[in-house]
Amino acid sequence: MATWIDDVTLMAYVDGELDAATARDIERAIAVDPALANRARMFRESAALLRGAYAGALHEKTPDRLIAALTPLAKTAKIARIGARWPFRQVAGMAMAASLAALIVGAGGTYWYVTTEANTEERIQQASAERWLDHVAGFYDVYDGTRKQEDRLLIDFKADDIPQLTKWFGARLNRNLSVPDLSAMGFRPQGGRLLIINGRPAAQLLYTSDGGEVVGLVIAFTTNDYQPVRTVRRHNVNIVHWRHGGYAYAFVGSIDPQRLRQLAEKASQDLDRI
Amino acid sequence: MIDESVHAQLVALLPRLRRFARGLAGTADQADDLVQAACERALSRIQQWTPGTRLDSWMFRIVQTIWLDERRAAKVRSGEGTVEAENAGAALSVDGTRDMEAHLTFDTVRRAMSKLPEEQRAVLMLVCVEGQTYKEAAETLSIPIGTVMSRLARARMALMREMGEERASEAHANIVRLSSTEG
Repeated sequence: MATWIDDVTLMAYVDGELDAATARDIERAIAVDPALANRARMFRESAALLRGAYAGALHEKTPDRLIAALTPLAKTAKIARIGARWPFRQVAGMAMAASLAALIVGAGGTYWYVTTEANTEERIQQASAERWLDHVAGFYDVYDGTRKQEDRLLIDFKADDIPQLTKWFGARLNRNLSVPDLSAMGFRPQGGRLLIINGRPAAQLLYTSDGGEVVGLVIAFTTNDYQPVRTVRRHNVNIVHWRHGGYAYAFVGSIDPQRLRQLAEKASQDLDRI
Repeated sequence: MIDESVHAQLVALLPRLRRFARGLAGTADQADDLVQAACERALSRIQQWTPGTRLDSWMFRIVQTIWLDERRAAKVRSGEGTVEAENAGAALSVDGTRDMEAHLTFDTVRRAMSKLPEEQRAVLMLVCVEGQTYKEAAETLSIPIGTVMSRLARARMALMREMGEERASEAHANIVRLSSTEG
Protein backbone atom coordinates (compact mmCIF):
# COMPACT_ATOMS: atom_id res chain seq x y z
CA MET A 1 0.00 0.00 0.00
CA ALA A 2 1.44 3.35 -0.97
CA THR A 3 2.55 4.93 2.27
CA TRP A 4 1.39 8.44 1.40
CA ILE A 5 -2.19 7.32 0.82
CA ASP A 6 -3.94 7.14 4.14
CA ASP A 7 -7.57 6.20 4.66
CA VAL A 8 -8.80 9.77 4.63
CA THR A 9 -7.09 10.49 1.31
CA LEU A 10 -8.30 7.24 -0.20
CA MET A 11 -11.84 7.95 0.93
CA ALA A 12 -11.66 11.45 -0.52
CA TYR A 13 -10.62 9.87 -3.81
CA VAL A 14 -13.57 7.48 -3.75
CA ASP A 15 -15.92 10.36 -2.98
CA GLY A 16 -14.61 12.47 -5.85
CA GLU A 17 -13.18 15.15 -3.60
CA LEU A 18 -9.61 15.19 -4.91
CA ASP A 19 -8.20 17.26 -7.71
CA ALA A 20 -7.59 15.48 -11.01
CA ALA A 21 -3.82 15.14 -10.65
CA THR A 22 -3.99 13.60 -7.19
CA ALA A 23 -6.81 11.30 -8.27
CA ARG A 24 -4.67 10.02 -11.15
CA ASP A 25 -1.80 9.31 -8.75
CA ILE A 26 -4.11 7.28 -6.57
CA GLU A 27 -5.52 5.38 -9.53
CA ARG A 28 -2.00 4.38 -10.50
CA ALA A 29 -1.25 3.25 -6.95
CA ILE A 30 -4.47 1.23 -6.80
CA ALA A 31 -3.62 -0.51 -10.05
CA VAL A 32 -0.52 -2.05 -8.53
CA ASP A 33 -1.57 -2.44 -4.91
CA PRO A 34 -4.31 -5.01 -4.20
CA ALA A 35 -4.57 -4.00 -0.54
CA LEU A 36 -5.16 -0.40 -1.52
CA ALA A 37 -7.66 -1.47 -4.17
CA ASN A 38 -9.49 -3.53 -1.58
CA ARG A 39 -9.78 -0.60 0.77
CA ALA A 40 -11.02 1.64 -2.00
CA ARG A 41 -13.64 -0.97 -2.84
CA MET A 42 -14.67 -1.09 0.80
CA PHE A 43 -15.19 2.66 0.89
CA ARG A 44 -17.25 2.55 -2.30
CA GLU A 45 -19.21 -0.39 -1.03
CA SER A 46 -20.06 1.28 2.26
CA ALA A 47 -21.72 4.16 0.42
CA ALA A 48 -23.65 1.83 -1.89
CA LEU A 49 -24.85 -0.27 1.01
CA LEU A 50 -26.01 2.75 2.92
CA ARG A 51 -27.93 4.10 -0.04
CA GLY A 52 -29.64 0.75 -0.43
CA ALA A 53 -30.37 0.36 3.26
CA TYR A 54 -32.14 3.70 3.50
CA ALA A 55 -33.78 3.83 0.09
CA GLY A 56 -37.10 2.72 1.50
CA ALA A 57 -38.16 6.13 2.73
CA LEU A 58 -37.95 7.51 -0.81
CA HIS A 59 -40.54 5.07 -2.12
CA GLU A 60 -43.03 5.01 0.71
CA LYS A 61 -46.12 7.15 0.93
CA THR A 62 -45.33 10.16 3.06
CA PRO A 63 -47.45 10.07 6.22
CA ASP A 64 -50.24 12.61 6.29
CA ARG A 65 -49.09 13.92 9.65
CA LEU A 66 -45.82 15.11 8.13
CA ILE A 67 -47.56 16.92 5.32
CA ALA A 68 -49.95 18.40 7.87
CA ALA A 69 -46.99 19.58 9.93
CA LEU A 70 -45.94 21.72 6.98
CA THR A 71 -49.38 23.11 6.39
CA PRO A 72 -49.66 26.73 7.43
CA LEU A 73 -51.34 27.28 10.73
CA ALA A 74 -55.01 26.67 11.34
CA LYS A 75 -57.19 29.54 10.26
CA THR A 76 -58.79 29.99 13.63
CA ALA A 77 -57.59 28.71 16.94
CA LYS A 78 -60.40 27.41 19.07
CA ILE A 79 -60.64 28.56 22.61
CA ALA A 80 -59.67 25.74 24.90
CA ARG A 81 -62.54 23.94 26.48
CA ILE A 82 -62.42 24.65 30.16
CA GLY A 83 -64.15 22.06 32.26
CA ALA A 84 -66.21 22.77 35.32
CA ARG A 85 -63.59 21.20 37.55
CA TRP A 86 -60.35 22.91 38.36
CA PRO A 87 -57.62 20.55 39.51
CA PHE A 88 -56.04 22.82 42.09
CA ARG A 89 -59.29 23.54 43.87
CA GLN A 90 -60.41 19.95 44.08
CA VAL A 91 -57.31 18.38 45.48
CA ALA A 92 -58.85 17.57 48.86
CA GLY A 93 -62.01 16.01 47.48
CA MET A 94 -60.18 13.96 44.91
CA ALA A 95 -57.73 12.72 47.48
CA MET A 96 -60.41 11.35 49.73
CA ALA A 97 -62.55 9.95 46.97
CA ALA A 98 -59.69 8.07 45.41
CA SER A 99 -58.46 6.72 48.71
CA LEU A 100 -55.02 6.69 47.18
CA ALA A 101 -53.65 9.74 48.80
CA ALA A 102 -53.15 11.53 52.00
CA LEU A 103 -53.95 15.15 52.41
CA ILE A 104 -51.38 16.99 54.40
CA VAL A 105 -51.88 20.42 55.80
CA GLY A 106 -48.55 22.15 55.79
CA ALA A 107 -47.32 24.66 58.25
CA GLY A 108 -48.58 27.51 56.17
CA GLY A 109 -51.99 25.97 55.76
CA THR A 110 -51.31 24.99 52.17
CA TYR A 111 -52.91 21.81 50.95
CA TRP A 112 -50.47 19.27 49.68
CA TYR A 113 -51.41 16.16 47.80
CA VAL A 114 -49.14 13.15 48.09
CA THR A 115 -49.78 9.76 46.61
CA THR A 116 -49.11 7.12 49.23
CA GLU A 117 -50.42 3.83 48.01
CA ALA A 118 -52.44 2.24 45.25
CA ASN A 119 -53.31 -1.24 44.15
CA THR A 120 -51.28 -2.88 41.42
CA GLU A 121 -53.64 -2.13 38.55
CA GLU A 122 -53.97 1.48 39.54
CA ARG A 123 -50.21 1.74 39.85
CA ILE A 124 -49.77 0.37 36.34
CA GLN A 125 -52.38 2.73 34.93
CA GLN A 126 -50.86 5.66 36.70
CA ALA A 127 -47.34 4.75 35.59
CA SER A 128 -48.53 4.51 32.01
CA ALA A 129 -50.35 7.82 32.18
CA GLU A 130 -47.31 9.49 33.66
CA ARG A 131 -44.75 8.19 31.21
CA TRP A 132 -44.77 11.50 29.38
CA LEU A 133 -43.28 13.06 32.50
CA ASP A 134 -40.00 11.33 31.70
CA HIS A 135 -39.90 13.38 28.53
CA VAL A 136 -40.74 16.50 30.50
CA ALA A 137 -37.86 15.84 32.91
CA GLY A 138 -35.51 15.06 30.05
CA PHE A 139 -36.30 18.19 28.10
CA TYR A 140 -35.97 20.28 31.23
CA ASP A 141 -32.58 18.78 31.94
CA VAL A 142 -31.41 19.51 28.41
CA TYR A 143 -32.33 23.15 28.73
CA ASP A 144 -31.10 23.61 32.27
CA GLY A 145 -27.86 21.78 31.66
CA THR A 146 -26.87 23.46 28.45
CA ARG A 147 -28.57 26.84 28.45
CA LYS A 148 -25.37 28.78 29.05
CA GLN A 149 -23.65 27.39 26.02
CA GLU A 150 -26.40 26.49 23.65
CA ASP A 151 -29.63 28.32 24.38
CA ARG A 152 -29.42 29.69 20.87
CA LEU A 153 -30.26 26.20 19.71
CA LEU A 154 -32.73 25.34 22.39
CA ILE A 155 -35.12 28.27 22.32
CA ASP A 156 -37.58 28.64 19.46
CA PHE A 157 -38.97 31.95 20.66
CA LYS A 158 -37.17 34.40 22.91
CA ALA A 159 -38.92 36.33 25.65
CA ASP A 160 -38.88 39.48 23.55
CA ASP A 161 -41.07 37.71 21.01
CA ILE A 162 -43.91 36.70 23.32
CA PRO A 163 -46.72 37.78 20.95
CA GLN A 164 -45.35 35.55 18.23
CA LEU A 165 -44.77 32.77 20.75
CA THR A 166 -48.35 32.81 22.01
CA LYS A 167 -49.74 33.03 18.50
CA TRP A 168 -47.60 30.22 17.16
CA PHE A 169 -47.93 27.82 20.08
CA GLY A 170 -51.60 28.68 20.46
CA ALA A 171 -52.25 27.62 16.91
CA ARG A 172 -50.22 24.44 17.32
CA LEU A 173 -52.09 23.56 20.50
CA ASN A 174 -55.41 24.62 19.04
CA ARG A 175 -56.17 27.04 21.84
CA ASN A 176 -55.74 30.59 22.93
CA LEU A 177 -52.59 30.80 24.97
CA SER A 178 -51.09 33.35 27.29
CA VAL A 179 -47.74 33.27 29.00
CA PRO A 180 -48.46 33.07 32.74
CA ASP A 181 -47.14 36.04 34.70
CA LEU A 182 -44.94 34.70 37.50
CA SER A 183 -43.06 37.93 38.11
CA ALA A 184 -44.59 38.40 41.55
CA MET A 185 -42.93 35.14 42.52
CA GLY A 186 -39.58 36.15 41.07
CA PHE A 187 -39.64 34.34 37.74
CA ARG A 188 -39.47 35.97 34.33
CA PRO A 189 -40.18 34.27 31.00
CA GLN A 190 -37.15 33.38 28.89
CA GLY A 191 -38.95 32.00 25.88
CA GLY A 192 -40.48 28.85 24.57
CA ARG A 193 -39.57 25.67 22.77
CA LEU A 194 -41.49 23.27 20.65
CA LEU A 195 -41.46 19.68 21.86
CA ILE A 196 -42.99 16.59 20.35
CA ILE A 197 -44.58 14.37 22.98
CA ASN A 198 -46.35 11.20 21.94
CA GLY A 199 -46.15 12.34 18.34
CA ARG A 200 -47.97 15.63 18.89
CA PRO A 201 -46.72 19.15 19.35
CA ALA A 202 -46.27 20.45 22.86
CA ALA A 203 -45.08 23.78 24.19
CA GLN A 204 -42.44 24.33 26.82
CA LEU A 205 -42.37 27.79 28.37
CA LEU A 206 -39.22 28.57 30.30
CA TYR A 207 -38.71 30.97 33.20
CA THR A 208 -35.69 31.98 35.23
CA SER A 209 -35.26 33.81 38.51
CA ASP A 210 -32.64 36.41 39.35
CA GLY A 211 -30.82 33.69 41.22
CA GLY A 212 -30.54 31.59 38.07
CA GLU A 213 -33.20 29.05 38.96
CA VAL A 214 -35.01 27.59 35.97
CA VAL A 215 -38.56 26.32 35.81
CA GLY A 216 -40.54 25.16 32.81
CA LEU A 217 -44.18 24.72 31.99
CA VAL A 218 -45.07 22.07 29.43
CA ILE A 219 -48.49 22.06 27.79
CA ALA A 220 -49.41 19.01 25.75
CA PHE A 221 -52.48 17.40 24.28
CA THR A 222 -54.15 14.62 26.23
CA THR A 223 -57.10 12.33 25.75
CA ASN A 224 -57.68 12.18 29.50
CA ASP A 225 -59.85 15.13 30.25
CA TYR A 226 -59.12 15.50 33.91
CA GLN A 227 -56.52 14.60 36.49
CA PRO A 228 -56.02 16.32 39.79
CA VAL A 229 -52.74 17.95 40.58
CA ARG A 230 -49.94 15.61 41.60
CA THR A 231 -46.29 16.03 42.40
CA VAL A 232 -43.63 13.56 41.37
CA ARG A 233 -39.87 13.52 41.27
CA ARG A 234 -38.17 12.29 38.11
CA HIS A 235 -34.50 12.25 37.34
CA ASN A 236 -33.64 14.67 40.13
CA VAL A 237 -36.24 17.26 39.18
CA ASN A 238 -39.67 17.92 40.67
CA ILE A 239 -42.77 17.98 38.52
CA VAL A 240 -46.22 19.27 39.40
CA HIS A 241 -48.68 17.98 36.84
CA TRP A 242 -52.38 17.97 36.13
CA ARG A 243 -54.84 17.56 33.26
CA HIS A 244 -57.65 19.88 32.51
CA GLY A 245 -59.86 20.74 29.58
CA GLY A 246 -58.15 18.40 27.15
CA TYR A 247 -54.60 19.45 28.00
CA ALA A 248 -51.90 17.98 30.16
CA TYR A 249 -49.76 20.41 32.10
CA ALA A 250 -46.46 19.86 33.85
CA PHE A 251 -44.53 22.41 35.82
CA VAL A 252 -40.96 21.25 36.22
CA GLY A 253 -37.91 22.49 38.06
CA SER A 254 -35.17 21.73 40.51
CA ILE A 255 -36.60 24.08 43.12
CA ASP A 256 -38.43 23.09 46.25
CA PRO A 257 -41.66 21.25 45.36
CA GLN A 258 -43.85 23.54 47.43
CA ARG A 259 -42.56 26.62 45.62
CA LEU A 260 -42.99 24.77 42.37
CA ARG A 261 -46.59 24.00 43.20
CA GLN A 262 -47.28 27.64 44.04
CA LEU A 263 -45.86 28.65 40.69
CA ALA A 264 -47.90 25.96 38.99
CA GLU A 265 -51.09 27.12 40.66
CA LYS A 266 -50.49 30.70 39.57
CA ALA A 267 -49.76 29.51 36.04
CA SER A 268 -52.93 27.46 36.04
CA GLN A 269 -54.97 30.48 37.09
CA ASP A 270 -53.48 32.60 34.32
CA LEU A 271 -54.01 29.91 31.70
CA ASP A 272 -57.63 29.45 32.71
CA ARG A 273 -58.25 33.18 32.60
CA ILE A 274 -58.12 33.25 28.81
CA MET B 1 -47.09 33.03 6.22
CA ILE B 2 -44.95 30.57 4.32
CA ASP B 3 -44.46 31.15 0.59
CA GLU B 4 -46.26 28.58 -1.55
CA SER B 5 -43.18 27.62 -3.52
CA VAL B 6 -41.20 27.10 -0.33
CA HIS B 7 -44.03 25.02 1.06
CA ALA B 8 -43.97 22.88 -2.07
CA GLN B 9 -40.21 22.45 -1.80
CA LEU B 10 -40.53 21.39 1.81
CA VAL B 11 -43.21 18.84 0.99
CA ALA B 12 -41.04 17.48 -1.82
CA LEU B 13 -38.15 17.20 0.62
CA LEU B 14 -40.08 15.02 3.05
CA PRO B 15 -38.95 11.64 1.65
CA ARG B 16 -35.32 12.67 1.89
CA LEU B 17 -35.81 14.09 5.34
CA ARG B 18 -37.39 10.81 6.43
CA ARG B 19 -34.47 8.91 4.97
CA PHE B 20 -31.95 11.12 6.73
CA ALA B 21 -33.88 10.88 9.99
CA ARG B 22 -33.96 7.10 9.78
CA GLY B 23 -30.22 7.06 9.54
CA LEU B 24 -30.05 9.04 12.74
CA ALA B 25 -32.93 7.63 14.71
CA GLY B 26 -32.92 4.01 13.68
CA THR B 27 -36.64 3.29 13.76
CA ALA B 28 -39.20 4.58 11.27
CA ASP B 29 -41.52 5.87 13.99
CA GLN B 30 -38.78 7.78 15.76
CA ALA B 31 -37.62 9.15 12.44
CA ASP B 32 -41.08 10.43 11.54
CA ASP B 33 -41.42 12.06 14.95
CA LEU B 34 -38.11 13.72 14.30
CA VAL B 35 -39.15 14.94 10.86
CA GLN B 36 -42.43 16.21 12.23
CA ALA B 37 -40.60 18.19 14.89
CA ALA B 38 -38.24 19.55 12.25
CA CYS B 39 -41.15 20.65 10.06
CA GLU B 40 -42.82 22.39 12.96
CA ARG B 41 -39.60 24.14 13.86
CA ALA B 42 -38.86 25.08 10.27
CA LEU B 43 -42.24 26.77 9.95
CA SER B 44 -41.62 28.76 13.09
CA ARG B 45 -38.22 29.88 11.80
CA ILE B 46 -38.78 30.08 8.09
CA GLN B 47 -37.68 33.71 8.11
CA GLN B 48 -34.22 32.49 9.12
CA TRP B 49 -33.78 30.61 5.87
CA THR B 50 -32.20 32.74 3.15
CA PRO B 51 -33.85 32.29 -0.25
CA GLY B 52 -31.28 31.17 -2.77
CA THR B 53 -29.44 29.00 -0.26
CA ARG B 54 -30.03 25.29 -0.02
CA LEU B 55 -33.29 24.51 1.68
CA ASP B 56 -32.38 20.83 2.03
CA SER B 57 -29.19 21.58 3.95
CA TRP B 58 -31.09 23.93 6.21
CA MET B 59 -33.66 21.24 6.92
CA PHE B 60 -31.04 18.55 7.49
CA ARG B 61 -29.43 20.84 9.99
CA ILE B 62 -32.71 21.31 11.84
CA VAL B 63 -33.28 17.56 11.90
CA GLN B 64 -29.77 17.01 13.23
CA THR B 65 -30.14 19.69 15.90
CA ILE B 66 -33.43 18.31 17.14
CA TRP B 67 -32.05 14.81 17.13
CA LEU B 68 -29.08 15.76 19.29
CA ASP B 69 -31.45 17.63 21.57
CA GLU B 70 -33.63 14.53 21.79
CA ARG B 71 -30.69 12.27 22.46
CA ARG B 72 -29.47 14.41 25.29
CA ALA B 73 -32.95 14.30 26.77
CA ALA B 74 -33.14 10.55 26.23
CA LYS B 75 -29.98 10.01 28.20
CA VAL B 76 -31.84 11.42 31.16
CA ARG B 77 -34.75 9.06 30.64
CA SER B 78 -33.98 5.63 31.89
CA GLY B 79 -34.26 2.66 29.60
CA GLU B 80 -34.67 4.61 26.39
CA GLY B 81 -31.09 4.95 25.34
CA THR B 82 -31.00 2.08 22.89
CA VAL B 83 -31.53 2.72 19.24
CA GLU B 84 -32.73 -0.22 17.25
CA ALA B 85 -32.50 -0.78 13.56
CA GLU B 86 -35.73 -0.39 11.69
CA ASN B 87 -37.68 -3.21 10.24
CA ALA B 88 -37.99 -1.83 6.77
CA GLY B 89 -40.84 -4.11 5.77
CA ALA B 90 -41.86 -3.63 2.19
CA ALA B 91 -39.53 -0.73 1.65
CA LEU B 92 -36.84 -2.65 -0.16
CA SER B 93 -37.56 -3.85 -3.61
CA VAL B 94 -35.94 -3.94 -6.97
CA ASP B 95 -38.23 -3.59 -9.97
CA GLY B 96 -41.12 -4.33 -7.64
CA THR B 97 -39.72 -7.58 -6.37
CA ARG B 98 -38.65 -8.07 -2.79
CA ASP B 99 -35.17 -9.40 -2.57
CA MET B 100 -34.76 -11.27 0.67
CA GLU B 101 -31.02 -11.40 0.53
CA ALA B 102 -30.74 -7.71 -0.08
CA HIS B 103 -33.25 -7.21 2.69
CA LEU B 104 -31.10 -9.16 5.11
CA THR B 105 -27.96 -7.36 4.01
CA PHE B 106 -29.57 -3.98 4.38
CA ASP B 107 -30.93 -4.99 7.77
CA THR B 108 -27.36 -5.75 8.74
CA VAL B 109 -26.27 -2.34 7.50
CA ARG B 110 -28.94 -0.60 9.52
CA ARG B 111 -28.10 -2.57 12.62
CA ALA B 112 -24.42 -1.74 12.20
CA MET B 113 -25.31 1.88 11.59
CA SER B 114 -27.32 2.07 14.81
CA LYS B 115 -24.21 1.10 16.76
CA LEU B 116 -22.16 4.03 15.49
CA PRO B 117 -21.83 7.28 17.42
CA GLU B 118 -24.49 9.83 16.47
CA GLU B 119 -22.07 12.26 14.86
CA GLN B 120 -20.73 9.51 12.61
CA ARG B 121 -24.22 8.53 11.51
CA ALA B 122 -25.02 12.08 10.50
CA VAL B 123 -21.94 12.53 8.35
CA LEU B 124 -22.43 9.12 6.72
CA MET B 125 -26.01 9.95 5.82
CA LEU B 126 -25.13 13.35 4.39
CA VAL B 127 -22.15 12.27 2.29
CA CYS B 128 -22.82 8.65 1.37
CA VAL B 129 -26.59 8.70 1.13
CA GLU B 130 -27.51 12.31 0.37
CA GLY B 131 -24.47 12.81 -1.84
CA GLN B 132 -23.36 16.04 -0.25
CA THR B 133 -19.80 17.19 -0.79
CA TYR B 134 -17.53 17.42 2.21
CA LYS B 135 -17.91 21.18 2.14
CA GLU B 136 -21.70 20.97 2.07
CA ALA B 137 -21.73 18.45 4.90
CA ALA B 138 -19.41 20.67 6.91
CA GLU B 139 -21.79 23.59 6.45
CA THR B 140 -24.82 21.51 7.28
CA LEU B 141 -23.27 20.21 10.48
CA SER B 142 -21.38 23.41 11.34
CA ILE B 143 -18.06 21.60 11.66
CA PRO B 144 -14.73 21.98 9.80
CA ILE B 145 -14.18 20.01 6.60
CA GLY B 146 -11.25 18.22 8.20
CA THR B 147 -13.58 16.98 10.93
CA VAL B 148 -16.02 15.76 8.29
CA MET B 149 -13.26 13.80 6.60
CA SER B 150 -11.81 12.19 9.70
CA ARG B 151 -15.27 11.44 11.08
CA LEU B 152 -16.36 9.97 7.78
CA ALA B 153 -13.33 7.73 7.48
CA ARG B 154 -13.75 6.46 11.02
CA ALA B 155 -17.45 5.92 10.45
CA ARG B 156 -16.91 3.88 7.30
CA MET B 157 -14.29 1.73 8.93
CA ALA B 158 -16.48 1.19 11.97
CA LEU B 159 -19.50 0.39 9.81
CA MET B 160 -17.69 -2.24 7.86
CA ARG B 161 -16.11 -3.63 10.99
CA GLU B 162 -19.55 -3.92 12.57
CA MET B 163 -20.89 -5.72 9.59
CA GLY B 164 -18.00 -8.10 9.64
CA GLU B 165 -15.98 -9.40 6.79
CA GLU B 166 -18.36 -12.21 6.02
CA ARG B 167 -21.38 -9.96 5.76
CA ALA B 168 -19.37 -7.44 3.79
CA SER B 169 -18.50 -10.05 1.21
CA GLU B 170 -22.11 -11.17 1.02
CA ALA B 171 -23.20 -7.58 0.64
CA HIS B 172 -20.76 -7.02 -2.18
CA ALA B 173 -22.20 -9.99 -4.03
CA ASN B 174 -25.70 -8.66 -3.53
CA ILE B 175 -24.81 -5.23 -4.79
CA VAL B 176 -23.28 -6.69 -7.92
CA ARG B 177 -26.33 -8.87 -8.49
CA LEU B 178 -28.79 -6.05 -7.82
CA SER B 179 -26.90 -3.82 -10.20
CA SER B 180 -27.17 -6.44 -12.93
CA THR B 181 -30.89 -6.87 -12.20
CA GLU B 182 -31.46 -3.15 -12.54
CA GLY B 183 -29.49 -3.08 -15.74
